[in-house]
Amino acid sequence: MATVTRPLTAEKSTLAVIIDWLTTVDHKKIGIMYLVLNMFFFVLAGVMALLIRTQLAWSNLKLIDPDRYNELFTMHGTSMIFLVIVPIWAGFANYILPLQIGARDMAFPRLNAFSFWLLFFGGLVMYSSYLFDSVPNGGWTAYPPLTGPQYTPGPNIDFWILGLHLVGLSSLFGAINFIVTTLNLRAPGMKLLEVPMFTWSMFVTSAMVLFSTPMLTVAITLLLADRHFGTHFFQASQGGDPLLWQNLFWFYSHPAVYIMILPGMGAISEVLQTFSRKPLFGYRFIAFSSVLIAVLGFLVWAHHMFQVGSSLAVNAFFAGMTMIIAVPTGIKIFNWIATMYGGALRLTSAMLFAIGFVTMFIIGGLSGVMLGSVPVNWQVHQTYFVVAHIHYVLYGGSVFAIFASFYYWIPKMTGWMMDEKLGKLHFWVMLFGFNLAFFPQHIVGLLGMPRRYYTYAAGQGWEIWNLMSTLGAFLIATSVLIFIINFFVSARAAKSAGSNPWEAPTIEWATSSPPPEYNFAKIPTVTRMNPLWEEHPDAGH
Amino acid sequence: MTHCDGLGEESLKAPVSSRWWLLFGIIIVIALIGTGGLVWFTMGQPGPTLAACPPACPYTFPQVPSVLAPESVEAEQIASLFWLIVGIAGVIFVLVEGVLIWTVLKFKNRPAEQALQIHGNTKLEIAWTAAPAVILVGVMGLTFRTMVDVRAPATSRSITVNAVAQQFWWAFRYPEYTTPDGSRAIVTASELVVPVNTVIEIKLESKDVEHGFWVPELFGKMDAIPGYLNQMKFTPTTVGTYYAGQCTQYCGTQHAQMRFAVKVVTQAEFDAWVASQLEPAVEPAAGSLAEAGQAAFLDARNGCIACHVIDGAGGVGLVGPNLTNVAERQFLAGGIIANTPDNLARWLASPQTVKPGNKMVLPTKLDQPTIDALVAYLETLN
Repeated sequence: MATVTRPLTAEKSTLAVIIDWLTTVDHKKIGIMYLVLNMFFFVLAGVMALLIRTQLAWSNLKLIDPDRYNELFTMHGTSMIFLVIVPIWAGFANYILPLQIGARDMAFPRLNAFSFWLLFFGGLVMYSSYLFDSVPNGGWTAYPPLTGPQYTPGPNIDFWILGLHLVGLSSLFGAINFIVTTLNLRAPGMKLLEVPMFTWSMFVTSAMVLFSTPMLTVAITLLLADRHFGTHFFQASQGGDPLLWQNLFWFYSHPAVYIMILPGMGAISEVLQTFSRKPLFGYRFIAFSSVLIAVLGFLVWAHHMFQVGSSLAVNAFFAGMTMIIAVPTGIKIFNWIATMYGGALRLTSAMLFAIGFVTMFIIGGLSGVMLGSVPVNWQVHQTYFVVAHIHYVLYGGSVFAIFASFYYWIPKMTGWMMDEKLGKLHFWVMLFGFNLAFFPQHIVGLLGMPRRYYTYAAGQGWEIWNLMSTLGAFLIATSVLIFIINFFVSARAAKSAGSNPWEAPTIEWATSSPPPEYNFAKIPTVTRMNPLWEEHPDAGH
Repeated sequence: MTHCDGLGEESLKAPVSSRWWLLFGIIIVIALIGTGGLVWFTMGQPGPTLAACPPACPYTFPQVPSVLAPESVEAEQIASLFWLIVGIAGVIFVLVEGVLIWTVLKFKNRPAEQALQIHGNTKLEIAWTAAPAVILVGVMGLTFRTMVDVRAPATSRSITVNAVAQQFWWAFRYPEYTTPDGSRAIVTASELVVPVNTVIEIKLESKDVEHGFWVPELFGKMDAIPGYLNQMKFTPTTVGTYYAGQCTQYCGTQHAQMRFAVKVVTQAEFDAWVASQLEPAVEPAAGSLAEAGQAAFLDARNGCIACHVIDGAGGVGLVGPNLTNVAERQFLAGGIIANTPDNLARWLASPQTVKPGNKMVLPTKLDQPTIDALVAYLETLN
């Protein structure tokens, strides 16, 4: 009988690979799919921002219809929040969290895959509205009665609601998965209060998701009922209450902003620690401050409603809580600076984004305190001052943290290094472009320019600030292009990363890059925090 | 200690297979199609045109609005609070960011073994928890005091104005100023006339969706929410006209073009204005073009009276602005274009071209003679 020789592992056919990815329950593959999908929406929503900024570059421009413009800011906000920033942390955590705690996968791998596909189809449902020329146009906040059946009779808002139903479920199931995984699948010896800060942050975030997301689902379901089943929860003309929507919506959407920032703060903590070659300063205080932010985050929602006519007592309560939440945030900032103090800093791209994050977040946090002061809020609410604030915390904050995470963890996920020169170029162009885009918006808001305006009159002194903002936006886009180019240039160069190119201390760096399907040949037993760094003889607590 | 940090190694390559390049390529193509489609959808589709504002009716307001140029008691109180908080924030930013930048510059690129292996310092933690807390409590206290001051009920002379918000214009009713027989109160649109140094009590209502009521120099904003009657006050301190009255709660297609002006006048001027507002509309001279215009206004086929009222002449509609004194107003179309005969003619020719999506939809297109007559008539109404 003839002997047939075949290679030990035959290369799979392309079709087999595609089917593997489409049906995978492996947390690493699911994580990558999240990241790719989220960056795809990031680019789309970013182009929407460029269109908005082009229309606003000067007074009285007529490039974009008011109706199209209203769709643009609605989809930009909705996409960036629900299809990019909220889920991208689930994407990073999907890949990294099990590795950081020494697990082989998430606790519920099939639920994990389900979460991804819910997000995919939720985004698809929402964007299919373009094919029906009924794009959501109520703002990402969708206040009724404007979004009710009387004033938006077309299906625009229905696409928004149904897409969000799916996306909300995705978020919720992911949260359950992260909580159960963190509680149950830690490596032997890893105490809950010794997990890496990214894991801890994702754990606390998931608790917030668990308690807040159902409220969004309730709110949008009631709106759907108003729109199609003859109810009048929010329709004032039939005895309903528009303010009920605002309370339900913001009860979710305020915690949502902490959901968007807290995992980023965890990632930044990792990056700062690694590239300072020093343990994170005040780990327990940072961990505890995260919990405080999570709890307090549920008690501030009506600071989005200071101008609806509530009593002084109600407004005072929410103003007070809003100020208080600045305290745990400050604790983090001081601890991050203290982490760098006395360290041996390596200013890699990831580190630059982390440092940029801290700076931008200080600015965004301070403008947040200003907005928490009710009388000041009465003047600058619904102006570009608020747009400036939200972008300092969501872009200068979350998006900078996202890019720090990419530069930090792409070597682990791919096995190759990102180009450092292009990374630094990306950072500086983005830092400059971002501040050029958004700092002037504080000013033009104080000069009386409201938000969600498709055009503005001449003679009010608004043109120059808007032009600066538009230029900044295009610089941001250029820097994102640099990042994308960097990704492909680096993939081509494929400089091997090795298992721990950064000499980082957490155990995702103890396995190969990328990790094998089973993550670790043998689940490590852990005896202390930062297991990959040797215990310093002088280390104190 | 050798550093094998992988940042300079060229020797080992982790090749990316060609399949992945194909996949990258497909994703890029999908992204390009997506973004291209988005741009085409946004800018390329036919829709209501924006062409409508030729140079003769520029959307221009000769005034730079500013929260920080207060012209009322309440806006002054808020501006003072703002400067205080900005000052504190500025100091904090300079301090904290200064320490951050100094830290980065001082400790970058040091040898690894020089990194201090400290885990924390409880005393520092307490200090930098307590210090911000104290500052924030201070800010809170000032906030509460200003809140109470701004919304404190009037103790001096006040007048009440009902501000009624609707898509996409503002109506103002003065319920305290009625004709002797009480049959009519003052009703204007897009222009709020008030006496200086008087507390103006505003009662806000909405006829349809949520809107926001705001003039930066005069007061912090308040929403007009259907089903609610919101109340606020302001006390203007300087005679002048403030043009940046704007809607500040997204309310639909023309949310950006829902303006009003506030004209602060002396008490004498206000009294004179009240008297003239309460007079019925001027009757046009017999045989004049204005008389033909009045006839055109009252002609039900033209649709005017279904939405508009001219006191003393006719009309039943309460959907659109009361036109009794329309010639006095500085602006038309919801406070966005100057009140000139040319602009009025342009508006009457096609309101949907000047302000696409506004609620003035004419049953039939008016011909030029009718428009000329109407303009002649309306420009006499003051």
